[in-house]
Amino acid sequence: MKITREGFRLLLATSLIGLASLNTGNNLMYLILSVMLSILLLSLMITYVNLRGITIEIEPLDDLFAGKTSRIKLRYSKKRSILSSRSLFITTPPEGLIRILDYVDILKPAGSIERIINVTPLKRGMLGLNGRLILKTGFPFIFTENSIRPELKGTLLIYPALKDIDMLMNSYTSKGKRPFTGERDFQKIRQYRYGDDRRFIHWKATAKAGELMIKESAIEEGQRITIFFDNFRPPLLETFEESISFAASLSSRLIEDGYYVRFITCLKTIPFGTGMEHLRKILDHLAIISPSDDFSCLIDEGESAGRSILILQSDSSPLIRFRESAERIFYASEI
Amino acid sequence: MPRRYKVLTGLIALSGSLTLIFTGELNPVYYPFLFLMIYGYIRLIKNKPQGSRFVIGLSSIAGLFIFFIDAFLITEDYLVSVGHLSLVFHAIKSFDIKEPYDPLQVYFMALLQLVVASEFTTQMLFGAIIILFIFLFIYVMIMAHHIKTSLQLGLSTPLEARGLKNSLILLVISTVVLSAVFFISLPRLKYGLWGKSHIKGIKNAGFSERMDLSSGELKLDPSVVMRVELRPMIKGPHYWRGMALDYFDGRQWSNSFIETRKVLNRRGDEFLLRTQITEDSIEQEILLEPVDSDILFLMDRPVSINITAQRLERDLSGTIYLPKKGARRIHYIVRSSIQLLPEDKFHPQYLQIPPSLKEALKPFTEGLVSGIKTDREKALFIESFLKKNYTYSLTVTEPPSGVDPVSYFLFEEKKGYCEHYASAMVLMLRAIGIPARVVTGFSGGQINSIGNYIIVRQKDAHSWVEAWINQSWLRFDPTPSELTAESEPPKLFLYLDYLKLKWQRYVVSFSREDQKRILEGIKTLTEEINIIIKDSIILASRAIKRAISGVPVPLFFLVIISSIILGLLSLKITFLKRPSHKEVSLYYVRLKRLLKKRGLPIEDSSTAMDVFNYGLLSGLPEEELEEFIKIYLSARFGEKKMDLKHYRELFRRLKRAQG
Amino acid sequence: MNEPLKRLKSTLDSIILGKEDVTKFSIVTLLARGHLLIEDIPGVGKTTLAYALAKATSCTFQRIQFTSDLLPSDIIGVNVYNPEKRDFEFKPGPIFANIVLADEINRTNPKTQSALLEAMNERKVSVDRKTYELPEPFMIIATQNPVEYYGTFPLPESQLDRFMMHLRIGYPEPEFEKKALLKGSRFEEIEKLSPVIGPEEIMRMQAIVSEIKVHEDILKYLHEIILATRRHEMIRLGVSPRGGQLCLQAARAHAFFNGRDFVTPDDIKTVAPLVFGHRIILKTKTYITDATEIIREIISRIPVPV
Repeated sequence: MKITREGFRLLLATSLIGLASLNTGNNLMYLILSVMLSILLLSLMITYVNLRGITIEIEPLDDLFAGKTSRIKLRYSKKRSILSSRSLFITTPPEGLIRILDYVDILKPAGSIERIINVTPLKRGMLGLNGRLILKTGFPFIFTENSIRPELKGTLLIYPALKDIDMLMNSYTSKGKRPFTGERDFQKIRQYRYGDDRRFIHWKATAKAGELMIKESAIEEGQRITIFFDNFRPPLLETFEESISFAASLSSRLIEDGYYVRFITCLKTIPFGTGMEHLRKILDHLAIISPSDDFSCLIDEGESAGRSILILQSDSSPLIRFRESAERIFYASEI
Repeated sequence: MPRRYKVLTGLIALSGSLTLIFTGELNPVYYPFLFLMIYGYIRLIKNKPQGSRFVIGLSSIAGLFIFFIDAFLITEDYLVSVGHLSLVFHAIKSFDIKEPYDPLQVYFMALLQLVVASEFTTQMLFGAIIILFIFLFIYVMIMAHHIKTSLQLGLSTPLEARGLKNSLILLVISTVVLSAVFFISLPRLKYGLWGKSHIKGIKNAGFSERMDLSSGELKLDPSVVMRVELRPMIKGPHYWRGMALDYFDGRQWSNSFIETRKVLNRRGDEFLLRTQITEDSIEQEILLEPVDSDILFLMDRPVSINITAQRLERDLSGTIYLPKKGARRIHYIVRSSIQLLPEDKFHPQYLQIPPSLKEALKPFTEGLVSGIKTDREKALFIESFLKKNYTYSLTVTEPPSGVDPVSYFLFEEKKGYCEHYASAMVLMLRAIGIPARVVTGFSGGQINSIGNYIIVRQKDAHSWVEAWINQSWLRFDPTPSELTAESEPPKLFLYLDYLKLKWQRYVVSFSREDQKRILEGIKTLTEEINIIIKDSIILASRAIKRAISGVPVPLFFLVIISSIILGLLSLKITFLKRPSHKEVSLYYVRLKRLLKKRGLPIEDSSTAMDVFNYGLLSGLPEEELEEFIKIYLSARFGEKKMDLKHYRELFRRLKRAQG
Repeated sequence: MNEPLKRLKSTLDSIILGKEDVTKFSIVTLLARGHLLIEDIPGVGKTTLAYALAKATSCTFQRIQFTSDLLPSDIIGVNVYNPEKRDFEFKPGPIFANIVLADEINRTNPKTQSALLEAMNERKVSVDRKTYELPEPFMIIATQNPVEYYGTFPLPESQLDRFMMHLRIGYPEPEFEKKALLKGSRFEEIEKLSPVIGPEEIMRMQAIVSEIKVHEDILKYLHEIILATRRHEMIRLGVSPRGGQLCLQAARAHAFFNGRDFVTPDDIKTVAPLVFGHRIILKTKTYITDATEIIREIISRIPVPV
């Protein structure tokens, strides 16, 4: 609750009238004083009540990437009450991930309003748990202002910015080629494991064995690649963000090229997979990953088998032990 | 700025200025500024270019210059000159509204105008203007809000506030209601600090310490002097006694007892005029308009007066004086006895008569009353004699020089008005040795059937006679009643006057006593509600009694007693259970607050462990802190007994360590 | 802290270096008659912890390595025909011990898992309509691998609910790791341990713990936390009433461990993340890996009674 500059002027005028009324005992002056006081009080009360019982739901309409303009949906609703809420500003705190400036003229009791707005997120992360929206009003007059952080439903996950990594990766991938479409060489049939592509379930064998069996092909083995991402706290935080952006771009690129990508950090292992949904899994993780100080990196030594790319923050990282087996190593400082 | 915003701004400036002008206190020289202002706003609404900074600045300086000359040399009244300045300001400002926030200055100036006007007038019109002002002000403030919003949103065209009619009505109504509540409940000083009043009294109420027998020009003035509510309402004619005059110098009457004024005893706000309290009395609630006089008007034989005043005085003639001339409206309640009461002593002044007149009047009067025995009958005879044989007229020719007005009235002109009648009768009574005096005041008045009160006007001013007969003062009125019976005024007038009475009574002269009364009213209301509840309980218990009359009495008592015991037990249990942790928590909370003030991140969700850790961080002695928190935890959550003294001592030590 | 507990703690700390919290919460779980779930990679000392705890309390100890071909009877035991007696004889499985280490519980099939969990919950097993009481004190320390491996059967949420606490050991701090390297084999060391407390003593303490006083306001505080987990926007399923009871029990044990006979808000605040972490189910659309962090975040917003 805040009294504005104009509000303070009115307050000053009111207190002067108050003094004059006390001095003269003039009831008509008391009358003016009463009017001024009630206008002030009403202003305070209404400004306060105006923001009660409002909830905001937030929902992304597209995937959100840092630095890319996308649409989100905001839905304002008000609880059952006597008065409507009027003249509401919706903004974001300055330290937030996104900038929103919206205005709602009137929000009726038990009613709701939907808005679709364009936002350009400033950086990756998650909005909802910490970075709340600000709801502000000065209604009805210009004497008082109130702002609250209303109940916010829903979250926005902002993926790291995807960058053009051709310069670094040219030799590596063959852009635009999809190696999956053609005939595949059988190698063996084995048990279905979580993360396998369901397209390759061998139904005959499945029927025989009584459990899901899957064709494993030679090409597939070649197309499997593991990205080790080191989230150990680097000396410079900017390089960390750069490396995340790079990891996201790399995953996106590899998946686009048809690779089966596994993504491993100290916090989580995302098993082999491909396709948009799989990319989202990786991006979900990258959106919220934060530098860790914990040496206890839960990666099994055995995970290093097969092709792998290592993204390292520095040489002091616990992931340094995968250096030998990695096909390529990127240092965050070099990206 | 939207057009409507400009129009409203102009209207607010206009309403403030007009209010001030209608009080009639301003110098008409300043009126042209009003027209200049109207012209300015018309230009503004038509989007004509506004005045240049230079011209505005120059004229502002000129305006201030005029103000100082006005305040110190011409009117020498700061309030009036502020009023003048406000007109000038409005006129200048009307050419200088550029920013969306500029009108705020206009509103504040209009507010100032209302404040100034409130010192000049007490008219009911003022109330109407206040409501108009509330409406305009709220309307314009809502618009200002939307303009501010559009500025914040960076819109070039202001937002059109849709569907604001309901909000506006709701806001105006709630403001009016809330203002009433504030008006009633705002604290007031008992006497006010009575600054210099600016309300001009009605020029003359026909009362002064003297009564000249040559002027009668006020007799037709219809302006209201006072409004009286009588309890019980008795039939007229009513006499509102003002001042008694005893000394006649041949031309005019005066009060020679004026120096015998004595301060009246009081009991709170009640001034006591008599020690004996009579039961049969008439209560008069009087609202006296500002009168250029310090005399209170009331019915004969007052017993007590309720008035908010520093003191009241009374002289030997029974005239009651205010401490100073009432430039304000005065509200008072008088109780008068309807029985004759033994009066104060007789004074020889009441037989004073100029010798020349005595010579002329004594034989004349004696001739009239010969054969009549008692003084009372003599007086009555003279009263009726004057009534019958003399004509009431407001146009009286001047007596030739050397002839005193009374003999001229009695013997030559044979017509005159009340003052002539009263003077003649008093002198005639004195000539035959009956002490008498002239009394001035008001008589009659018009009964307003709507509010059931009496409107007394300037033209109801009257004078009559009091004679000292049988140890008390009796009233005689020798003036014939006016023949022209007044027709009932139109209903609308009665309603309006009733409203005016209520306005004067409950707004203009609202006082601390009224506040007290309202409080008491609320108290009695709650008491009444209590009584109603009690009554219903009694009724209910009776009904229950009837219902259980079949049940044996011992069983009935058993049930009652056991329920009482159960109730007490449950009470006791809750008493025992109630954690006595208040004091324990108090010090802990204080410690928390101390650390928080230190800038440590202590929140509501901080536990004792956090407090301990942060306490150590801020350099508190570990041992004491640990013990303090241990005691707190065991007393608070373990509900253990504790040494409160020691605990407090620990807290003090910690506080000291905190510095 | 009372004397035997102090000794127990220091004994454990001398074996498992630099993991004071882990040893503390293991003891707390034991006192609260709960079971422990440790989620960690191999080689950080899970077995050591369980074995040392058993040895120091002179409890019987069994280790069950869960594999995909493990059968319920391998844990619980079987009826074997005894030709001499001409009757079936119950041959108790490895679960009949005071402290049971169930290693890599997610490696086995759900059937075997549920057999273990049932036994854990009921504290008795039924074989061929005959019931056998498990020894007291009884505590299962289960371990689970955190990474999404193939061929694993992560415990369903409903079964996770049976564990009182969910801990992570993590790599030792560098300094302790060096010390540990110098020390050599820990198993020899544990073998040499002399018991500091007996099973009867532990049972007595368990009885005291369940009597520890909980102030009404503490209950309210706990309830607030539980309600907040149910209302939280990122949580699909909040803490169950059973979770609340277990948390209270753990808080009592924590209070007892700290030598108090009443529970303070600190007890709740300390144990709640460990007790609730594995009990809540996050919404699939949310992306926080660590549920205990959400619990901590919730607790950090709830006013503590003063």
